[in-house]
Amino acid sequence: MRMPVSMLEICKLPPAVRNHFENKGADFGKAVFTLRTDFGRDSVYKDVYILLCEDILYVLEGSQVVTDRNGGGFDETAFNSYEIEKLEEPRAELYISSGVIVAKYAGNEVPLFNYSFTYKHDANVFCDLFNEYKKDKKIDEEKVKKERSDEKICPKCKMRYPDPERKICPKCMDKISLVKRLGVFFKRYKLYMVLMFLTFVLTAVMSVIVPYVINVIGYDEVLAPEGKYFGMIGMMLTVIIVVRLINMGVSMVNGIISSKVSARVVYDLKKTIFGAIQRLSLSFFTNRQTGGLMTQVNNDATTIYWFFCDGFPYLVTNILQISIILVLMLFMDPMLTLYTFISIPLFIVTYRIVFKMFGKLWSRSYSRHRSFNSLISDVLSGMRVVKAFSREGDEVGRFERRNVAAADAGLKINVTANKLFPLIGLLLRVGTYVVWAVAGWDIISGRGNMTYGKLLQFIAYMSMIYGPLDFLADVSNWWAACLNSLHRLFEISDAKPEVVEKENPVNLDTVAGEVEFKNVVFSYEENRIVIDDISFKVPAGTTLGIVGHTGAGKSTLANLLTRLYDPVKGAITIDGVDLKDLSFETLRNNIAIVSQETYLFRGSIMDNIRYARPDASYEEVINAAKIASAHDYIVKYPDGYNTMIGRGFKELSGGERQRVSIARAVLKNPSILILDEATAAMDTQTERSIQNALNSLTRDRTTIIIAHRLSTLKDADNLIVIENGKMPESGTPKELLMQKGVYYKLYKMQAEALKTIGIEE
Amino acid sequence: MKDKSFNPLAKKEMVTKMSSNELIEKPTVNGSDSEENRSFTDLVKIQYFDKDNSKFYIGETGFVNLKAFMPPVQKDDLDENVSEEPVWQEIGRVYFHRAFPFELPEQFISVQEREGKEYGIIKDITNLDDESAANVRAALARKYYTPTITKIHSLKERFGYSYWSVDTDKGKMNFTLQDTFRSIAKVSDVRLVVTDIDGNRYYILDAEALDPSSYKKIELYL
Repeated sequence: MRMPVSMLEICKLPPAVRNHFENKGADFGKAVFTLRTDFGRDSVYKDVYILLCEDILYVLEGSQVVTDRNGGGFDETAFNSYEIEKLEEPRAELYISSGVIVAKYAGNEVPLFNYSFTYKHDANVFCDLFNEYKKDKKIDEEKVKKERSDEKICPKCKMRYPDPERKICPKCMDKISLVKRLGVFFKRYKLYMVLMFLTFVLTAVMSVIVPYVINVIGYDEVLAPEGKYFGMIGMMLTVIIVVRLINMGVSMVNGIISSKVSARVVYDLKKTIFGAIQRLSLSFFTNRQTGGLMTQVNNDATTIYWFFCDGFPYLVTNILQISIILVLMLFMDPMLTLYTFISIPLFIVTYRIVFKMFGKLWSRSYSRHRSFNSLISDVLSGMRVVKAFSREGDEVGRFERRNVAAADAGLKINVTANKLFPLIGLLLRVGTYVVWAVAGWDIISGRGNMTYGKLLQFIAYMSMIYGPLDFLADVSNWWAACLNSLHRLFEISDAKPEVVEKENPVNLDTVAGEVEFKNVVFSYEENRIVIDDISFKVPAGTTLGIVGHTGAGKSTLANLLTRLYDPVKGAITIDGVDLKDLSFETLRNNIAIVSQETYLFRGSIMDNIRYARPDASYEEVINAAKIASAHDYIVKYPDGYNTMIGRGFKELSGGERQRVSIARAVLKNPSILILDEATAAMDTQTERSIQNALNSLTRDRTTIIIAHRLSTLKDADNLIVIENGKMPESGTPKELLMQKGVYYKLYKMQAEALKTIGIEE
Repeated sequence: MKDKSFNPLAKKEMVTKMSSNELIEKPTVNGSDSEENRSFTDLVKIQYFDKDNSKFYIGETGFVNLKAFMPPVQKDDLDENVSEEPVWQEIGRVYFHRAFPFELPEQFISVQEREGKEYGIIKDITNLDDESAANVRAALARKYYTPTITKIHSLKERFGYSYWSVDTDKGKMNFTLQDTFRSIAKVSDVRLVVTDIDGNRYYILDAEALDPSSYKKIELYL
């Protein structure tokens, strides 16, 4: 195109829009970047184009009709331009499903442009680009390369990719590629696969031979006086039995092989997926509902297993069988074969309709049962509240309604099934009656070369065709379910972890524990900044206290330091090395965190404490527990450190759990210890005693303590105050008190609270 | 179950049945008039805005500003109280949030500053003067802008994603849902909120009032 090289097109401008901008006086020689959103400031979906030209920002709103990407007209509905000089601090304001970019223009806040959530990322890109341009007067092209919105759209259906990183459009994805990917898993078992296929062929051939032996040879050659083998019943029986036995043997071998292969493939699949899940960053789990992620994986794997263990072998044998039989039947009597299939098209159509109907009935019943079950578990786990507010009667009513709904859905399925299935069966067998009639008439009147044995053979083949047909009509749905499962699994294994270890990471043998945050910016969700430009330094071996309101972003700092997430901007260093360059091993070995939400695994207390270091000695475990004030209560349990905890076993109280997790962190003996409201669930006395023990532990260790109870922080060397993601104050406790800022007020409030009950700090 | 143990009196005044399925506790609008119970509604002082003590006007740059007669607004709640005496003051730009967006879109509108601290509540927009009411309504309409689905042309499920093509009150739209079951929230017996993969929301006001072919398409997910 004729665009100047320097212009960044996050979205390509249609020619009409470009002309329009030029008519408005925009100089494309000076263009820096272009962008598009889909929402006007009058709350109407429309094309909105944004163009930044050196020192002017243009916002052009189009007509309601979305402009043709390749040409067509463009009607302006609104046009605004802003001088970059006066424009600063663009930020996103979020509504319910749209947002607006607001900026300061000559000191006043003005709305620049609106966007629907579809363009929330582009809106964010705008803020970044604008700030970068304003600062440096240029934009690093490499950084925005992947932001081009045109590349996030499936070229075929023009819908956005669900996951822009993955560039797979489920709508347009062909099933073949999925199967090919699964094929990779099967490749390892090539030999088995060949064997399996051989057995398939054998099974199919065998099952075709039996009717031939019984009917044609049996009736026409053995039983008929003029037959070749008249009277040799013994031989015939032997042949039949041998054939049957071989058939049985082959199917046994086949069954064993196919279950073996599918089990292994599914095992491999699950292993891959579980590996992927462990590798994934925390953000993957926050974006998706994790509850049941593993169950989903398991279910999906099972679906695939059964399909390949049960469905696939049947499919292959059935197709083989049908083709062989079809050839034989055509060979025997083409006309009769035609009659056989007389009702098949109708059968398939009916079957599909009925199946769809049943699919709906089933999912209705499923969802009703689900809501019924969820009510039960909800009420049972909330029994205390139900009783406390004496709502038993209402709950019974709710139960009754859902119970009836679920039962109704089940009943409907059974009634419909009983009505429809016999009818369908009848439809399938219409062909049989036609064949009987036609062939019977032929035999009686001696027309053609039809014999009694031949007819029986034909009939036997027919019945062998109907079974597989029944199955084939069914298998496509099974196959679809299997593909869905496959896709879901691959989606997980394809997801890219956002936090990745660098290729040649730095390994530190000893970590002194100096921590520094440099202009760190972070947001969990696009456009919602949680940490806004925070910088601080924790010299090795000192204790830093972080104070702030609930939800101010304190725990996020801990998440960033443990690299559960990476900062959006800025850097975090340990001993001067950027976290992103540090190996995961160094990081995890040297940082321990005790967080608000303690998670203890099902197992003994011993296992839980030793989770941090499985090789720790008994003495070390006891020491750690002692420091955490956990030892005393643990030994009181009949099973001591071997007490099993977790669901179904002993339930520890909040404070007890926290103490176990502190012991776990202590046992790890880290260079950097983070206590994130670690003592919040304990009474003041227990907290004191833990603190006294911890004091000796934290003396020469970098410790970061997050708390809202200021007494927890009394021994901190330095404090920082976090408010709404920003850091308004930092310094030693004394300095902060002198500043008379937020900390001073908090301190006074808590001190006053204590004074009112007669305690003074 | 033990029907005897449950106390009909408590039930009568605590809860109003909102739907046959879910029970939503509804705040009593005139909470102080129940004589038999000690009231708690006067324990917290809530600043309510009406036409006598507030004026919501459009500022220079198009945002809604507030001028109100109320106790001086403090920068943060840690400051010592200066005075409780109400005065007329310019609050500046304010943000609106519906407390009950579905049932009471025009009542109990929280008026907040940017960081989320509440200045007060508009109990009912109709209590404001006409101009203020119009401005608040416009701001709310902008914020709660959500297309309402009126007809579903097609709904195709592909590999766990569902592709929708619908008519809305704002025109024809196409969108994608990830995990269809969980993306459709039932907020009452008939009302649905559909959230697409980008976080855009769409309403279906009454699922059962949709035309039969549209209803059939979503029936499975309800």
